[in-house]
Formats: sequence, structure tokens, C-alpha cells
Amino acid sequence: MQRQLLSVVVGLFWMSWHLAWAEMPDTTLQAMFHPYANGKPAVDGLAPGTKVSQDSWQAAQDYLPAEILDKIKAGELAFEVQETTDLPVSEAYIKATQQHAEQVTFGADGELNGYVAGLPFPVLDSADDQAGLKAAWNLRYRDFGTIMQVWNTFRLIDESGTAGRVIENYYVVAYGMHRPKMDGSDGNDPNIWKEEGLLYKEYFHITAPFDLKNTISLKHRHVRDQAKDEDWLYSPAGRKVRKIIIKHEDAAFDSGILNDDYFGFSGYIRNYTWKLVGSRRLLAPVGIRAAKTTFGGRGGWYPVDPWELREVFVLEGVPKADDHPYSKRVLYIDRQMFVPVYTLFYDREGAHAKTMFEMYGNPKFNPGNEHVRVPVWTGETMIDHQNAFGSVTEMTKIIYNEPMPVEFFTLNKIVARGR
Amino acid sequence: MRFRLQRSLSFVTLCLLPLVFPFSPAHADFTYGDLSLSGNVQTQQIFRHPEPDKWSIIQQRNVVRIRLEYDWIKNGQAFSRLSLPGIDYAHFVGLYRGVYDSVYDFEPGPRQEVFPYGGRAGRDGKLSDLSQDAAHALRFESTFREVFTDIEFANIPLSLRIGRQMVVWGESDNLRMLDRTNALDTTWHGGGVGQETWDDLRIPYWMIRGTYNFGRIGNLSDVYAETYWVPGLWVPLKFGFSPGRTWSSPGSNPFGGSLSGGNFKLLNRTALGRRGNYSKTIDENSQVGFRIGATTSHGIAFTLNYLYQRTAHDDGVNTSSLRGLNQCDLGTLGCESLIDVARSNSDLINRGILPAEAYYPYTHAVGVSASYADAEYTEGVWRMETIYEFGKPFADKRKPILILDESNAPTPSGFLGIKKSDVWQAFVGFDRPTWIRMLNRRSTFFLTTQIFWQYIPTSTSRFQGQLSATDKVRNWEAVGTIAASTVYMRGKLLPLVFFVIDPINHYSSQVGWVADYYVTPRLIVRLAQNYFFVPGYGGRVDESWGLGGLYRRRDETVLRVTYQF
Repeated sequence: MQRQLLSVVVGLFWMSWHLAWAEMPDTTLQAMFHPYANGKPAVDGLAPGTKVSQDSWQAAQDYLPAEILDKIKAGELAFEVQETTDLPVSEAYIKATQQHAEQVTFGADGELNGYVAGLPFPVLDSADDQAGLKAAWNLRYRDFGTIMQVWNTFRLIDESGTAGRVIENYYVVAYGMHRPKMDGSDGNDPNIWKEEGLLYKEYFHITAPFDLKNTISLKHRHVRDQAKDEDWLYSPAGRKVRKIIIKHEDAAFDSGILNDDYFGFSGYIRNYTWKLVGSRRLLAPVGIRAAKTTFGGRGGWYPVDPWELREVFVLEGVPKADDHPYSKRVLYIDRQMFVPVYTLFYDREGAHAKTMFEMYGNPKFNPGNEHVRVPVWTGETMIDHQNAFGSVTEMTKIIYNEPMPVEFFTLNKIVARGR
Repeated sequence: MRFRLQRSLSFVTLCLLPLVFPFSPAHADFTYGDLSLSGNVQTQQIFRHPEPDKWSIIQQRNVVRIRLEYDWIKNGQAFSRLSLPGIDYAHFVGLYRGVYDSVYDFEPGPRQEVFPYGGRAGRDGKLSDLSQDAAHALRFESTFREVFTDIEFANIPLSLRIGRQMVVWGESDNLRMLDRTNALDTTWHGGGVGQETWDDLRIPYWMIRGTYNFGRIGNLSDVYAETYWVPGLWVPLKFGFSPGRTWSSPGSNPFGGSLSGGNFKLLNRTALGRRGNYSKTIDENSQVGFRIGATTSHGIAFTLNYLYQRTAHDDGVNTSSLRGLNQCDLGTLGCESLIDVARSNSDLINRGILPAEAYYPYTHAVGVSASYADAEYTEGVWRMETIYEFGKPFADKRKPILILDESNAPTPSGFLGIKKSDVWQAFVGFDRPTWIRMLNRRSTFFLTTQIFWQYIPTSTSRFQGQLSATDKVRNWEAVGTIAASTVYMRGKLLPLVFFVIDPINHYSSQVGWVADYYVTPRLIVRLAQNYFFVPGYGGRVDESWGLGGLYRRRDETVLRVTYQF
């Protein structure tokens, strides 16, 4: 009897210890974060240097979504193929995934329970009913670094390649919760905004043209998906900071980029029904060997730096709202970085309406960011096929993880700096 | 003539300045590291059309704005050379505005109509009535509107802004309650709501402003304190009259027609719109404001405000900026009767001086502003603002200044007595981005509406309004506004429509629209119209808000072309 009791106690202790310290197996992490460790993908007819164009698309037809292939066939886009680039995210993020992923579950309210840092769900199986939802949460908690500062130029370009509006801006996004614990003694607190429950803050400052110069906006995104964003706007015309409501299905400057669309998807997870369609090996504009994307093709809308073969998840999001402009969006998410590399949008009738490309580069070719191990953003473009129009974000400069004072992201700073 | 030519040439040089600088085509403005130069060149024509077939051009204004910004301290290094460890960041801003009102060169007709728009009093002069000197004095402006530096300290959460600047507080749009630090220059435009920006209408002051960030205190976040001080350099509301400034006040110069020729003068070397009976020193002409702001745990952002400043007479309240001063005190030697008082005043008037001074007394004001974004139910932002001002000056009919009438009998002139009263003003507003898909499938409309009211907690029957002898000062006044804006053509067409109504004064109203079209990212064409009317009422309406009563026959169309760099 005593031995049985002892066995039970020991067993319970072992189970509780195991639950507390369960770690993701190395093989799972390897598959997710190092998919090219055992060799770069190679496909007959798509060797590095191969040109994919209106005249030579056949070898690529199984390695592109049909919608993008159609644009190549139509002569809107052409590119060369380059060797796949190994772009692992940060060690701290991978380590956090290893330590904490096993304990992440869905709560009854649709939020995550037990999430600390890293990728919440490194195992995605399309046979799993919740795989789509898990992928959406992975997207939300992808490794974006701690702080990203971007100087870029946003152009609204018609079919002739003429820009109707040009807006230069400085954009900063700073994560304040669920950051992976960094090594070293820099005092990095992974949850600096725990009290407010804020996942990240976005600061956006227009630097040109003259009529919009010094327009500043600030966004607070909560950790809880159920909580709504808080947005403020400083307009130099009014010289006041105003609280504003931003509708996620609206588009600034009539650009065609809905507020939900940035980075492929930046809305509320709860507003969509998610389905993981599967995983594929596809060509994508990733690993760009420059600090900024080169745009070309029809209207100068397309990324024309060399594309490469990537392991990709295909995730479909169907808006729950009946009056949403889209019937669905399909995100093609890079497995290694878990960032959408392109997203296809379908109108209410189900026709392919828009394509968004998010370009990430090879840090070795990005001066100042050579040692960065997060997806290094090099540009963005949204092509509105139905209205023959492109919204192109061209990078001027980008800095990752350079410390910034917390006060920079406060309303008071805008009050003081508004001019 | 030679002088005029030189000035014109210098204006042209300024306009061309941006074109001779080399610049990087990657930037919409001129950026050289931490220094940026931007601005615009603009020409604006205003046509007035009191009736559909009666149009005249009243303004042809050409403006150049040049804005220089420079981060002169970054990370404790001034000019990238000099170490200033106590200061983390400093930023310089200089904004130049040069103006050439070319309408004074071709001086178009016809005679302009002025309030009350009837009879002989309703007709005023033509631009061509101006003398060459008078026209020349109005033709040009060349000024640095803003010149300031921001300084952010390294070890304390304090920011300073020092220099010529504007301070704008409050939550309302176009209803100036807590936004009263900088007085207005209505010589830019007297009824330009929807056409001109407040940036162009406000008079910037030299001042020092500080913002201290407390961060989080208890349940309050983003707690800050802000204060400013205008050290002796305050100036009051500036205005002009027809025919010289046909777009400013809707009346002819009330000081014109003195018996000595020229305009009447005021006592104590005061001048309306320029200065009162005080010296421009720190002791006598300073202005201060203080506010604290915070956000509650429920998301309500609020400020508590206190202002101490001279009354600028630019907030729509029907106050008086003239204080009568009898030239002798009854009962003193040589001033034994009311006739003596009246005679001494009349003698002064006969010499071209009114027995009054420009009056801008100090007042205390306290106010509150707040906003709340209700993302759940109304999906809009609720805003409010209120201000209570102590001791504003009103013209008092029971304290008349006596003058002699034609029969040499003393008679009261009701405009010049002063009695002070408190005034309470408040507004509630609501903003909402709203889909109106039948009008725009791709972008929402930004709808914003405001209800404003004003209360004078004193019997106002003794008060005299400033527009005319029949103008009453009411205890309650109210104004409502609604505006809608959206975006078409991938950001190239930006229309705005708005409507303003005064339910107290015969529903006196204004409706207007503005459409900006970006021909290129740098070239913008604006077309705008303003209509003023009093629905269902043909009589005269005395109202001081500048709606269908005061601006009844000042319907205008604006054509503006802007090139920005």
C-alpha cells in the first residue's frame, strides 16, 4: 500500500514537472524554423538564373498560385529564379517556442491560454480542425523583432506608371508583450506593457508632402484579440491630437489597401473563419539581395527582384461580416519566417480582385542589418487588378531592434512634438 | 513704382527659390540629412456672387510658404559635433509666408455690399477707391509665421518649445473655446471657415511652452502637464474693412468720416485691433495657460485647463472692444453739469478723437475637454469641451457716454459703456467613419457633428450688441455643425461638405463645399463654395457668428491652385 502511494506521488510529481517543463521536440522546431537545413529545394526547370516570363512560364506553373501565373502569362510580370535563402528567425524566438509552445491552448473566449513567447503553434496539420485558427495566431505572434523603424515612400500608381499621390513617412512598430527573453544583461523586459495589456504600438509620421507633413498617428494593439484597437491622430491642420475610430474594412487614401490588409493581414482574428488549406513549395519574392525591392512589370507594381522556391503554408480567411468587401483572402505564408509573402483577395462574387506582395530580403545585403535575424522587410505592393491600380511601398531605410525610449510611443510625445 | 517692382521681383525670387535648389528626386521635399525644406506656392481667386448672375472677383492672392526643419541636437550631440549631455533632442522649425495680393494692382469693381445689406448703408466703396499708398500698404506681407525650437531633455521627461508659435487646445472644430491662446487675423479672411486653415488665421506669438510627462499615475495613463507663457507680446484680434479688405469684416470702417478728415482716433494712443491702454511689457501684456491631461482606465481622455489672458474679442461672443471715457468727471472744476460732460466729449469728437479707448481686459478662464471612442455601440468618437470665462466686457446701454446732439442737449451714446459678465460656452460633438456605399463603394465618409451653446448668467437686457443699434445680446446662443468628407479616385479627389446653423437667430445658416483635386502629387486644384442664407426670412438678422445674417450677401466661390514641394 505504501509502495503504491509512493508510486502515485512520484508519478504525479513527474507528470506535473513534465507539464511545467515540457519542451517542443527538436525535430518539430527543425521542420518549422530550419526547413532548408538538409538542402535547398531544387526543381527541374527552375534552377537559379531561370527566367520566368510570358514566354517561359511552363516550368513554374506548379510552383505559383494560378492567379499569379495568369499575370505572368499576360505579360504583367517576369522575374529570374535564385537559390533559396536560409532566413532563420532569432534564436531567442526559437528558444521561446521550444520552451513554451506545448502549453498553449485555446480558451473558451477565443483567446490563447498559456502563451508566453515564440511561435504559439509550431505544429500545423491541415487535418486539424483548428489548424487555420492556429496559423492565424502564429501570424499574429510571428517574430517581428522588438522594434522596427522604417522610412519609406508610399505611391498610388495608375496603369501608366504615373503616381497620383506620393507620401513619405516614418513608421515604427514596437512590441511590448510576449517578446522572447533576450540573452545578456540589457535589462530587456519581455512584457513592458503588461499593465496596459498592449501587444504593440504603431507610430506613423508623414514627412512629406507639405500638405500632410507632420501628420502623426498612434495605434495601440491589445494582446486580447477581443479588445479593439485604440487610435489617435495628430493633424497639423487642426494641431490637435484626436481619438479616432478606424474601420478595418476601410482604405486610407482610397488606396485599395484595407486597414486589415497591411502585412497580408493585420486585423482581428475573431472577425474571420480560418482554414489551413495546406502547405506547398512555391516561388516567392523572398531573400532579396538588396536593401529595397525593385518594382517593375505592369504599372511598375510588381516585385521583379529574383524570386526563389519557399516552403509555404496556404491559409484562407473568410470574413464573418456579410458586407465585407472580400469574400475571402488567401495568405501564402513562408514556413521559416511565418510571414505572408503574398496574399490574394477575392471580391464578393468570388473573383480574384487584388494581390498583395510583402517582400523580405537577405540581411547580408541590407547595410546596417547584416546580423539581424528577423524577417527583414524590403517593400510592399498591393495590386488592384479590377481597377488597374497599384499601391507601392518603397523602402528608404529600415532599422531593427535599436532601443527607443518607451516615452516615444505615448500620447504626450505627440502633444509635445505636434507641429 | 520702382519700389513696387523691386518688391514684386523679390516675391518672384522667393517663388522660384525651390526650383533652383538641387534635390533628390527620391523625396517629395528637399531633404539633406537632418534638414528638410518644404513648402508651397499658391494662387487663390475668390469670386463673390450675392446673386447667381452677379459675380465679381474680390481676391487674387499669391502666397509662398517655405518651411525649414532641422534636427539640430540628436542623442545629445549638437550639429553632430558638440556634446550636450543634458539634452536628448532638439528640432528647429521655421515657416515663412510671403503674400502678394495682386487684386490691388488691377482693382476690380463693383462696389461691395456690406452689413446690413440694405439702403445706402449697405453699399460701400470699390477697390479702385483706394489711394495708391493705401493699396500698396495692403499688397504685400512677408513674415516668418513660426520660428521655434523643440528641446527634449535627456534625464527628465520635459519638452520645451521656445519661439514664435501657436498653441491649440480643446476638442472642437472651428468653435474656438479652449483654442483661444492665439488671436485671429481676420484680414486673411473674415468668413473663411472651410476655405482657409486656422493656421493661416491665427496670429502666432513669441512664447515658451513646456510639457512634462508624468506617465502613469494610479489608474490614469499618459498623464501630462502643459503650460505656456507669452511674455509681454500678446496682440489682439486683427481685422480689416471694406473696401480695402473686402474678404474681412463685412462692413465699412466705423471710424471713418471724422470731421477733421481721416479716421477717428482713440484715447490713450490705443488702436482697435492693435493695442489697448497698456505697454507691451511682461508686466502688462503677458498671457499664461496651464493644463493637465490624462486618460482614464475606461479610455476617456481629458484635460483640465486654466487660461489668463487679455480678451481678444475673437470667440464669437458679442463683447465690446471699446470702453468710453468721459473727458471730465462730473462735479469737478469746470465740469459741473451733464452738459459740461457732453460738451467735453463732443469737443473731442470734433477734433477727430472718440471719447473711448480700445479695451482688452484680462480675464480668467477655466475649462475642461474630453473625448471617448466608443468602438462597441456607436462606433464613433464623442467629444466635449467647455469653458467658463470670468468678467468679459459687454457694451452697457445704462452706462452711456454723453455727447451733445444738434440742439446742444446731452444725449447718451449707448455703445461705449462697459459692464462685465461671465460667459459659459460648451459643445458636444460626435465623429464617425460611415459607409455610404451608394455614394462611395471604396471609402467611408467621415461624418462629424457638433452642437455648441453659450450662456451669459447676467440679465442681458442692458447689453448692446456690436453689429448695430438693434443688435441684442442674448443669454442663450447656439450653433450646430455637420460635415462629411471622403476620398475618391485613389486619393486624388478629396471632397468635403458642411452645414452650419444658428437656431436662435432665425436659423441663420451657411452651407459650403470644398473639393481638392491632385492633378499630380505636387499640383493641387481646389474649388470651393460658401453660401450664406436665412431660410424663410427676408429681414435683417443681427448675429455675430458670421452666418446667414452677418454674411448674407457674401456667397463666394474659391479657385485655388497650389504647387507643393
